[in-house]
Amino acid sequence: MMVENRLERIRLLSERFQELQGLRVAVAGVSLAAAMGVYLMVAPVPTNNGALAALLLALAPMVPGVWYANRYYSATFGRQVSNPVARKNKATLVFLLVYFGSGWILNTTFPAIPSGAPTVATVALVSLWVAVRDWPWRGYYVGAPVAVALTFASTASAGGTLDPGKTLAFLFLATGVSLVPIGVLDHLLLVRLLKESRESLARRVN
Amino acid sequence: MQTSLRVSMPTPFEHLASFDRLVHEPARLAILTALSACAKADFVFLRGLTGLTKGNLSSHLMKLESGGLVSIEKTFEGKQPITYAALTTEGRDVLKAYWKRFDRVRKGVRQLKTLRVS
Repeated sequence: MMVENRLERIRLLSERFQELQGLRVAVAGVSLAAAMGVYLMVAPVPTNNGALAALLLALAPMVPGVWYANRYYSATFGRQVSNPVARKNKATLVFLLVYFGSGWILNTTFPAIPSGAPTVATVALVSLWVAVRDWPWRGYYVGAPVAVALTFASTASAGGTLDPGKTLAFLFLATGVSLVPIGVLDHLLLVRLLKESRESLARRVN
Repeated sequence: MQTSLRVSMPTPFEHLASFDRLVHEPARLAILTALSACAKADFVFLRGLTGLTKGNLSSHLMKLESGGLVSIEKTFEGKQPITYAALTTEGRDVLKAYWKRFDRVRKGVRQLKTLRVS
């Protein structure tokens, strides 16, 4: 039973190694939250289109930040290629096609829905899926959909008091803020799993 | 009751004795398990995962490679040399067979426990 637990941990770590490199997510979250925070403070009248422009600005610190985090992980924790790459690439391509296709249909059919809202909803749903898939290890992923749901509930379109023009900026802000602890917790889980794996093996060998 | 069990199927201890030593060793089993969950992994990753020294990990990988369970690939990223290890098809089959046998041992131990209780 002990052997199985140890190997299950090793398997989880190896399978989720790329996903557990959480500092990349945390950097993306900080960039998103900072861009939206600055936009909400600086813009005289925040609008949903303005929030989309701020999202593009968030990419400026995000891209080099994620690149640095990538380098840190490969230098400190090593490199690993997920299994199987070809199938994952195909799945990503299909997902992107469906995502942009449905986004375009939503934009043209329901102009009342802000352009970035499906993105936020997708991030929330994917986070929920990760929490369920890796329960209880990564249960903290529930934080993202909860943050998005709470923010949405406070907007005018859901009966709240928040100005409709600020909806998108606040949704992006909530997503960014929730991604920071999620990323840090993923990173800590990676470190913890590595440590436990090493210690249990040392106990077995000695 | 115990005699009939011994005649009809091998005991868990007999199963244990038949385990492939190349796979059953804790460090090598950890390496194989890690490699079974990915396409390939480099030396630094495997060292971080197992906590083995460079020399020990090299020796285990060499044994696995000579057993045909693992393939080693040496490449460069820029000027940095990287050693990747990947499970071969034979390695995957052997690991699968190992887990099947392991399950049989576990079931056998469970049966022995119930026999002792009754």
